[in-house]
Amino acid sequence: MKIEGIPGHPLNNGSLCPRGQSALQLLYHPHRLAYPVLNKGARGNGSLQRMTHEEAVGLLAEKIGDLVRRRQTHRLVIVSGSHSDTDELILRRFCDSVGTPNYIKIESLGRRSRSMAMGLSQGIFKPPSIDWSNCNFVMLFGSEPGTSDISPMWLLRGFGELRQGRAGRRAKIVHVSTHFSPFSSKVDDWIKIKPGTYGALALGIAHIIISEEKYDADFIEHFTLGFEEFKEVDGTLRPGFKEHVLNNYEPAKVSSITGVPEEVIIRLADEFSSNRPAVAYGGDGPASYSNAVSELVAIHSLNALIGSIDVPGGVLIQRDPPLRMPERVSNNSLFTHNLSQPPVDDSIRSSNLPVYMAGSNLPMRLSDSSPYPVEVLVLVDYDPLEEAPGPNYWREAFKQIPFVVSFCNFSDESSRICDLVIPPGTFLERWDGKSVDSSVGFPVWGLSRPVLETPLDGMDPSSFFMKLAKSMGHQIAGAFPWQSIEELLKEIAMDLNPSPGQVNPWDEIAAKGYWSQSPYRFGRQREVYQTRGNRFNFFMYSMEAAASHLRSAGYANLDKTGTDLAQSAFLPNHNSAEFENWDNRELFFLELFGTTLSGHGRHFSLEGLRELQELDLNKSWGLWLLINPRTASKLNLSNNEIVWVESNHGKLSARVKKVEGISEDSVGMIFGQDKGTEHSDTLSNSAMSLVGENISPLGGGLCWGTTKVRIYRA
Amino acid sequence: MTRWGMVIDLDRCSGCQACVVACRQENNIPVVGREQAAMGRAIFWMQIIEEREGGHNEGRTRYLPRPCMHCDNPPCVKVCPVGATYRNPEGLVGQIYARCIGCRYCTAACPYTARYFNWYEPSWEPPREKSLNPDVYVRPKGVVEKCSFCVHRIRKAQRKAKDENREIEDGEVIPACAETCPSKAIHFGDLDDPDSEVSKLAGSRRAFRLEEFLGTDPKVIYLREGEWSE
Repeated sequence: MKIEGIPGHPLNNGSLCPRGQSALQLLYHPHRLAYPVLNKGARGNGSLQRMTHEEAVGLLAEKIGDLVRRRQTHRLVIVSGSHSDTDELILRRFCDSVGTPNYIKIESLGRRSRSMAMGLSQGIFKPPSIDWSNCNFVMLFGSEPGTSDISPMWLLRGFGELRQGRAGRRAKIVHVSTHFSPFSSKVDDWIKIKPGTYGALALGIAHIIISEEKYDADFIEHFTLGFEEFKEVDGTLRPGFKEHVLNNYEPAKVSSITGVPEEVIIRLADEFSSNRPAVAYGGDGPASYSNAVSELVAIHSLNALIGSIDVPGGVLIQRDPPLRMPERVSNNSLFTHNLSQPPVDDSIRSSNLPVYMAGSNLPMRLSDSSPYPVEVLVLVDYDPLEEAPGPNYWREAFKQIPFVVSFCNFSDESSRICDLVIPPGTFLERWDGKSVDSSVGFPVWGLSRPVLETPLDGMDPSSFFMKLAKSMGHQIAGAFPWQSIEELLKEIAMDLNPSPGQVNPWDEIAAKGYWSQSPYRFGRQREVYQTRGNRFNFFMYSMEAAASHLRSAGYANLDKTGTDLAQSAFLPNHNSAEFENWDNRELFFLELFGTTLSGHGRHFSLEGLRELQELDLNKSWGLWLLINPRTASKLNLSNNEIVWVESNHGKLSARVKKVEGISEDSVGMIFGQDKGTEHSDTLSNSAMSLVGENISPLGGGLCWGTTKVRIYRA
Repeated sequence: MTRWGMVIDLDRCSGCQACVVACRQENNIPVVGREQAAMGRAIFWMQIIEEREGGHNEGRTRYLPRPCMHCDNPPCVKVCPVGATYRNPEGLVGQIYARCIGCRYCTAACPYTARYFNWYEPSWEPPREKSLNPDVYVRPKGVVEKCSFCVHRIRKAQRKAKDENREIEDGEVIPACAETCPSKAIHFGDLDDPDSEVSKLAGSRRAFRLEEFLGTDPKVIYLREGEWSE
């Protein structure tokens, strides 16, 4: 067995990133669970009873069937961290057909804020795609290609293309970040910035471009709205981006906010505007703070300023393949009542507003039985005790819920205290169909199929829930008319055009592994800007609508800017990021970041990856605290020494590694380091346990960069 | 005669370590674990090594993927007392595991630290053995091992070309590290063929070799990072 990329595939073209290369270690891991296990007795201490998958289906059918009989199905909550599009379809459909509003999708860190920034300005709620191979100048704001939740393959390929992909043209790469990472040493220009101030730098650059009239006037006139002040039909005066930026973001002020010298801001503006096509791209850095969405909007506004949207070498939108998705379950009378219940995470989900608001903390609400007690909690590929902020709230929540199920391949922190654990198998043992994430722009649909027979074949979450639905009576079973996931995927792929000379799209896709329709189509304004006037909205109408919606729903602050929002709040802005214990100078900013090996840490338990040296550290294995040598000497700490890292939310021990690239007022940790190592019930070794559940109100993304920590010798 | 060589474009390399993982997977390199790794006993036929110029914040840290250099004048061959390591006519520096007595002279002599000693009998907890590559030997305890330029892939391509009664084509042999590299930084081919991609790249004014002054004549050629204004 060997895993390789597919030559000619639009994303990987035969290559793989380190995590993809490691997937065999997952498949043949000796500690993988081979069958479902029922915990008989006290959770964590009871005797474990082996079950078949059929018995597990039967047990869950019994639990959910009981809720159906009592018309309490809203007390079923499914929290899914699965990356599978098919799981998303089936689990959501299962919740709809059973009658619970509580399908909760855990998205990758930063994704929601990045999508929201594109949504507010362009009406496309997806992170941006970039045409790397035609780009001449790239400003990466807190973004590193190997660590993003967006396909690292696409970003790493782009990196190679930018550098030596075209004879005689080598793009310049600028990396703006709070700490100097190995990637910083690979770029042409590294700019150090203070935490939470990326948007201010972007608007400072915009100030120079506007004042020196280096913007693309033609693009501004035809493709944007709100650059100049304007009047609505009813006479309402709307402020313009131009005046707003000229009045509020002069370089001297921006320099004092960001710590970036004025001459650097001027140089960046000059290079960015005179080396087109150029692109400004915001990543994990800005997405980690409480002002995430407004910072990312400010960064993206630079692209509009120089006309780098929907042009070769600029920002593209990711188009979806024309899939024939099954119609949504029409609510049957039996469950209408349950569907009308408020979702347990208190989120506002509106189809016509860019608002997703997890108003308060999900685990706290689960543990408080608010707004109603939850009776069955199903976790799919999600280990909140390891991956979520505030794991202790989750421990409490588990205690309040009578029946907790976890779909996971390894005994993890959460599954150790669950009632039923079901191994779903790996992506190599299942059918799945997936549209590519924001990357190449043109539509690509990938098909994965079982590559070997294992006992877990066909027991992935999609197949499991389809079987479960079919066992639960005709009303629920009726929503799942397919005999298998393969049959469902065939139906979904029905409208994908076969290549010239081919007749049947399915046979071609099954043989090739993917479907795509290149090249990217430029110049379709209505598709690229799904906003008011089909233009890039400097003045963000949808943000205004979201603000009023949130205010009426009782949420006062938008990105914590204040209750009384001025009109200028709906233009790209820099709002100060909020940090816990901001004033306490004895505490350090906790910078949590990913590497190409760790990603966001979700699958970092594989020994083959943990044995590799992190380039930041020159260390393998273990949990490390990156600290500036001068800070270490002030605290009298030496390399390899064990220290406590403590925040308002938890503490853990780590070994000291002095690293020059970390600022003196910060310390750094890598996502997921030491994941999978067993530890005590009350202490976690997940750096995420130090983070508070700070949610960005606009967008609802987790702000994992707002925590400050104390360091002391263990 | 073919003279196999590799060109690594540091301007394309992002330091992602996909080459390191692919190499370990391809060549059946065991995981030694936390304690042994801390003692420096983890094995990397391909490894990213760090070279610093100036301070961390002001200067540049250069990350170099480091396979075996397959030197044309290999110091490791000269010190081997039993002839277990040798340079073949294609320029590959090979290792005969059955002949190796584990004295580690070669490990000490290699200026590139490309050689590793097997401290333990390699073992794979079931079912990990299923992920082993059947084309590559598993090395026993007590011998030295290193990057082979994926010689099993070279032989496979040569056999195929012979069966089809033709010469091997440029780009037909792709080692695991080059195959997986997302940013296409690693190139492999015949340095004696003036038309091969590696020959052309080796002639770049960005080209350099590691520790050239030692006279080892390495066949891994690096292309230094370019300048924006170039």
